[in-house]
Amino acid sequence: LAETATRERAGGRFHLQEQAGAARDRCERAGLNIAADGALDRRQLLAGVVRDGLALVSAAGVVAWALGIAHADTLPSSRLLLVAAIPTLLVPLFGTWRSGTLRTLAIHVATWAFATLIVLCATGLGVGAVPLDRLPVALLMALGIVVVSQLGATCASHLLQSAGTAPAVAREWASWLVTATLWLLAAAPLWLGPLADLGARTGSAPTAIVAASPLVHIALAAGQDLLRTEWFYAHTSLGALQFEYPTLVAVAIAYLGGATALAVLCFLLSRLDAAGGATTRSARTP
Amino acid sequence: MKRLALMTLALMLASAPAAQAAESMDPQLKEKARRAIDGGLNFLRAQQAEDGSLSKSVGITALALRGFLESHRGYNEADGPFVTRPVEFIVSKVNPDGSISESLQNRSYNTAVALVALAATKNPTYADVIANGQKFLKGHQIDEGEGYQKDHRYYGGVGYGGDERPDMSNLYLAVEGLKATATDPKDPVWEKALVFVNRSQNRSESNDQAWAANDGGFVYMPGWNPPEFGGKTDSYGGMTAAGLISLLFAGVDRNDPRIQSAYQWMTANYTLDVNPGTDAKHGLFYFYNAFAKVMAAYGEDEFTDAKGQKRNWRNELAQKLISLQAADGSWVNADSNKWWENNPQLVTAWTVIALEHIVR
Repeated sequence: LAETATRERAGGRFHLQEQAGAARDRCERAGLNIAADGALDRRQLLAGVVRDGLALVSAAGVVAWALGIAHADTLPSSRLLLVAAIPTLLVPLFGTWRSGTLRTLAIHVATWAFATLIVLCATGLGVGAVPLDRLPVALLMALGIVVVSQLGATCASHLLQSAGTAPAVAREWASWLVTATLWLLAAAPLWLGPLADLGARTGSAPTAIVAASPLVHIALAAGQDLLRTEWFYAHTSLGALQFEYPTLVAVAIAYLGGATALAVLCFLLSRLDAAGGATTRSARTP
Repeated sequence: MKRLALMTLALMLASAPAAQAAESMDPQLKEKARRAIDGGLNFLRAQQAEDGSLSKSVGITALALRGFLESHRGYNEADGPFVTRPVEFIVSKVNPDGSISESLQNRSYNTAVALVALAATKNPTYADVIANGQKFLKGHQIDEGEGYQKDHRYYGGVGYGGDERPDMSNLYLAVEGLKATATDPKDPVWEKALVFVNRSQNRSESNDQAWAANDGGFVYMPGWNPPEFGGKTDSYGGMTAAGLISLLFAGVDRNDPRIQSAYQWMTANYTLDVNPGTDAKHGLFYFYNAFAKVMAAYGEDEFTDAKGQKRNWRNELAQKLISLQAADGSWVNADSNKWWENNPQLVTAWTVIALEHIVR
């Protein structure tokens, strides 16, 4: 794609045409037809979601298995957490073939919902019980994370594009960046545990670290005391320290606020991109 | 006249063991311990928020309330808002499921200590709250209801709050709460609890787990200790005291080999400088609290340690606790922040309760 973009630039094409060309190229590689006005065929859009969803299911299955979803001692609530959290933390890596804020967001949410449904069914049928009464709230929280992470990826993609990165490459980089950030934050109670230990006497470091983790947010929605589950209790000192989980309402407000702020930022960045593109076009127009 | 003299003599003989027990502690030290309790209670009273709570926590508020209600001062609800407000705070945190907690986490811990405090008020007004709390604790115990069969190592245990993994510490607190509120001794909760207790003891004759050793002490949960204590299955003081109390409260006979071996571990590893069986001061005040309770429940004032030295636990523990009291009447673990022992409100409440068991 980068080579294509470079060749196209060398040919003196307009910036907006480059974007459209790259997206079209990527769609074609993905086996999707794209109309002259850029609209995708609905059935093929659905096929893309299903294909990405299945890839997400495979990845989530491997990660969940590695984290012990099928272990005999895994509590049903921990199983629920794994089902809800892993597709959520992996979904930014999938469905990066479409540009445009709202459309990409819709594709990610659809991909995530499809994958979560399959993982849930597979877990319930093949591994063990999942407490369904807590599922809706946990999935709502996960949806909030999907929306915020996708908007974050779109913003990052815009920023990378404005720095001269080709659109498709920018989307790839942004998706990896957001995924890495999500996983780092999710695992913050583990790798920031020693810092929390040091700060426990004087400050509110343990509470802040716990509050920053999306994994804790989903666990909270699932009614689970994550840091006192056997694995976390054995691997981080946080469970033995005094801390307070954030309230569900506070987390929900934070995600709503974050999503709104990121949506506004995406809008402004896309406007800036368009203005930049127009300037480039008028500068290049003979 | 002769009959009266005989009756007087009989009464004197009958009261002799009680008098002896009362003198089982150095009287001067006992007085100092009572003053230390007063200092601790003054600290706790000064720390109360407007609503009577401490740290906005049902658990800490309930422990402090217990300290007031079980003190040698004989405080009760008629003594004023420093008793009634904490009670009101605790009752205000009753949830529809019967638990008494300000948050989803620690629900079992908070409910258990709240039950003990409410029972100590001896006020029948709280009978329904207590009955619902008992129901919650029994329902929270890991059993078939949660999909666990008797052969699972979690079976019979109780955890902190949600449905997370059980441990010996929370089970002991739940058992104490159920005992304090006169739960029927024939209730299945005791039998199930004993399954978990047996699996937490390093005693292969009564523990069916492959890791079980034979020193008689207890671990945090079957097959595992927190990383602060090495993460393996070595017995340590805090949990051995918790396990021994659980056995006694569950109605196991004092001469039962499980109790005897745990008591022997406790006396053989006796120290007040670290959490026995470890070289760490993590959970040290938790140990002091549980140790005072279990020794009072066991009923021996003196024991012989591993070096053949006679020990009077009441005198020694009182001296230790008095020496650790701060000028403002509080206690805090200066060497560890684990399990909230850097919180002076919690540690003071624990220590006051320990001292009350010592001077009782």
